[in-house]
Amino acid sequence: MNFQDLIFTLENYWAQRGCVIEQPYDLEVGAGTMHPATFFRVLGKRPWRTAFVQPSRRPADGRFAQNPYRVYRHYQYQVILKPSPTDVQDLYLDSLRAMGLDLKEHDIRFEEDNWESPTLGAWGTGWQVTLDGLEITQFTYFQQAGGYDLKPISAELTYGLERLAMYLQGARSVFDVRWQKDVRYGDIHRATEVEWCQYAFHQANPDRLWELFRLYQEEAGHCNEQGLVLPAYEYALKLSHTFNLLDARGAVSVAQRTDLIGRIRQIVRECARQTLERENV
Amino acid sequence: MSDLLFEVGAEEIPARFLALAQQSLRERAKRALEGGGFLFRELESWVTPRRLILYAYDLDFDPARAVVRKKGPATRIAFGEDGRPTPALLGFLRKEGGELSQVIHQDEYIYLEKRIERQPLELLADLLPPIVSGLPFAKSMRWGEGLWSFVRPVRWLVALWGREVVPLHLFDCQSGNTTFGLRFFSGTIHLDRAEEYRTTLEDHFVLVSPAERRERLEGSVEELAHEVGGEPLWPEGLLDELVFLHEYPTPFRATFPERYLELPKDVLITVMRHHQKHLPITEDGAELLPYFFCFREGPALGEEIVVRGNQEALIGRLDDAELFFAQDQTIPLAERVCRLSGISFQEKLGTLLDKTDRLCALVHTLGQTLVWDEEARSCAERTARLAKADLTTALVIELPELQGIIGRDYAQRQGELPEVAAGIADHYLPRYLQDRLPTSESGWLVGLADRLDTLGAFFAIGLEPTGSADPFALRRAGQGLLSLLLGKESNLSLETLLAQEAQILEEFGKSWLLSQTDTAPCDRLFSFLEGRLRFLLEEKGFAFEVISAAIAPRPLIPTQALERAERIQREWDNPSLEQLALSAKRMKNILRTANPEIFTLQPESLEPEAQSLLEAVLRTNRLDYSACGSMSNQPAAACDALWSALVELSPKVSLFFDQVLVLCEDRLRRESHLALLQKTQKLFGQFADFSALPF
Repeated sequence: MNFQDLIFTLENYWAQRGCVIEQPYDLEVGAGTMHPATFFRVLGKRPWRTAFVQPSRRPADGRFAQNPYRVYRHYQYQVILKPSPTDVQDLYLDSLRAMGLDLKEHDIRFEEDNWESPTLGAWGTGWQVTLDGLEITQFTYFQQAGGYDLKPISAELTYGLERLAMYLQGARSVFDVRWQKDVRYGDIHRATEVEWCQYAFHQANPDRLWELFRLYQEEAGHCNEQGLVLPAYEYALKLSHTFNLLDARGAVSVAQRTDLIGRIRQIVRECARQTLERENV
Repeated sequence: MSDLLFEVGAEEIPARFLALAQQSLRERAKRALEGGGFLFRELESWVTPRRLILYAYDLDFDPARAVVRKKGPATRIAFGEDGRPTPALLGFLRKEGGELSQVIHQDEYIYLEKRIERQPLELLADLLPPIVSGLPFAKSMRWGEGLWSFVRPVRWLVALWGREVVPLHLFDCQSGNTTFGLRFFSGTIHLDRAEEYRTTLEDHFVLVSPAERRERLEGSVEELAHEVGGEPLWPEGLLDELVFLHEYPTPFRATFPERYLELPKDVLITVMRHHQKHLPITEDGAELLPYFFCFREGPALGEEIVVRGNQEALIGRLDDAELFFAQDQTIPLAERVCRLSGISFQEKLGTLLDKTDRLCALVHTLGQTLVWDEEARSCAERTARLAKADLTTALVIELPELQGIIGRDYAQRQGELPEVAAGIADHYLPRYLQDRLPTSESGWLVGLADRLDTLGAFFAIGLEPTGSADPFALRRAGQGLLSLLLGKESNLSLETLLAQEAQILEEFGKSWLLSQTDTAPCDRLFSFLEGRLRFLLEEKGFAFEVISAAIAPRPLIPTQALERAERIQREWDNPSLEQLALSAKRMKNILRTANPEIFTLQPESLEPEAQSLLEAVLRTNRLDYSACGSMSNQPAAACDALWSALVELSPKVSLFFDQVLVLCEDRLRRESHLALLQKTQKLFGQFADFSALPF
């Protein structure tokens, strides 16, 4: 199954189960959870089902395209089911069947893995799902977001698309994954991986990034004061990415880390507060 | 009579909770069933990742035992002096609808027992759900509409007494007689009766009993390892984890390319154990073979596919490790020390290089205090210098749980002394309460100094644990420090340790000490450590009062405190102990107002009983046990000697109190009495505060 067919399969599968097929968010994010279609929609009471691809950047995971699994930017397939249905595990397992896996032939497990995002003030309980020893999905019941207890509870399924494709195709490296019949993942992403790593690990200018961090924080605060929640949130996303760049560059000490994360969380929390306040009016 | 089955089907419950769940399940069920008037031949609890199960063999209901007990007034209030019931008792009987003839007397109270007039099935329906919903899990969650909280969502319930369904609810589930076998290998299963549960599930690839799964795992692994001339090398906790991760575990033997054997053994084991839950195979207990076990849930199907996936996953991680290992070899540990300046220890406390400098200085001073020989001291100092250096290696950054272990491996490769290499790994021990202690001397000393420095430094800047908040894990550091002290026959006192730490902090940290003249942090750290010592002794099973008595003497030498606590515990039934305690209390009462005044003792003014006590005290004092204790490195011997002396002294003290009027008219004599008691109290106090004992 080609990489793009894997995406089509998931889109179709979840569309048939009532999900709104959203599109990727157009800012740098570390995970699909940061997409407003996740973060804002899991707050409050309204039911919601969505699914979408989200390119995710984690500068510190970059390996100059030298590691078979680790990359600066990867693709997540994100599904949100709110409230979590009673057959949520079966729905998930059926999506694996839709990819053509005979589940009796494989070892599928749900191993405890509780997820937490300190910047989003969010955490949940759940599992990492492994397929023959390889982690392919993060399965989470969101308990809190923006520091607020959630009710109802959303289930979040995050598929690692590269991992799955590697497995389905028997590829040894992510760069060998067939995107379609005659184009490989590496043809599209190898050069950009190397460039991004070169930038993040060697060329990023910490002084300027610190300055950007300050500016984004001020702008976010300004937006929140004006009650502009989404723009404020977008600056929080930029802050998060700037923080990740500084971190990859080795410019953040252990003590600073807590402080910086705290500053981003404060903005996100305020966004959540205003969102909930509006829903309750 | 029929068996009772209660099966709670859930989404995968974390493996780490299941051992405790199994145990509490049984205990809670026993209490609830017996309390509810039920009898059974045997009660079992079983757990799998997807099930919590209670099973009672031959459950029977005895209506006579199905009672609720109501507590009434105290017996002395319930009956008047004439023996007739008071209005208090009559009111209670009226309210509960009982007769005078039915009252039960127990522990000076009146009780009434009332029959529960309900059907046993109804009783079970009420009694079973709370057994499960009240299980203590360290982390719980909500799901769906978010109305309930439990370890994981509950999806089905089976409650059968013989052939009858016990109609009950738990969260949003309703009980029935329908269960499921292993996922992917079974559809729904209808049980006709409870008694067929275990065999039916086994037919559908579920071994409900953890003990059976353990047997299946251990046996098959052993056999498969022998085929390649090896033994399974079970790392700590892996077998338990696998038992609780599967309903029907099947091991497959797999291989990895031999070149990865050049990686440090602990890296291989850690990657297998923690990242993949794979089991390494060893040739002779020391060297690894290029084989490992992976495990699948369910019968031995798809071996080739499962093995290939697991191999790929393992090799991917080993590739990463290999790359980091190669990177690390370019810079030896000794050169890495200066790179510690790039890692912050704590904002105000500087970097790990600053910490290392303090650590070296402290190890130097402590080595002198302990009068270690030149060689041992220089080993310990070298260990201190290199102890943290592996934190700058790529492998430790990637696999933080290998801190110390990687340091040991690299130190060996780079020609450091074996004692130094061992010490680098050991100094992190004990990592938790029941963990093992260092085996190397240098690891012991560096570990001690490391914790002492961390505690001293954090207290100096006012970051102490408060209530349940202990973000820097200082309580664990304190426990570690005391476990190290208790684990070795050292006679270091907390006073000595704190004085040396204070000195080092002053030398190195003038800029951030709260105040150089402020002794308060030091005093607070002392009480903090005293509290940790108390906690450790409680963990060892000593009673509160015994601990209070044993840790009172100053200087506070933990090894001696432990010796004394043991001695007191051992002598619990010895009348001398009671005598000592009573004497100590009398002295304390009499001297409460007199202390701290110092009285002159004029021996010639004393009565014969008092003189005899004085002589005994002076004789004992000459033996100077405290000195003998702190220098001899034989806390047990010092403790024995002082104990015997006190036992001998004890009747003389009692005699003194019985025969002599302490606060007599004659001032000179009265003051001599008090002075004598002060001396005696001080002598007692060298062993323990006996007045704290509950006699």
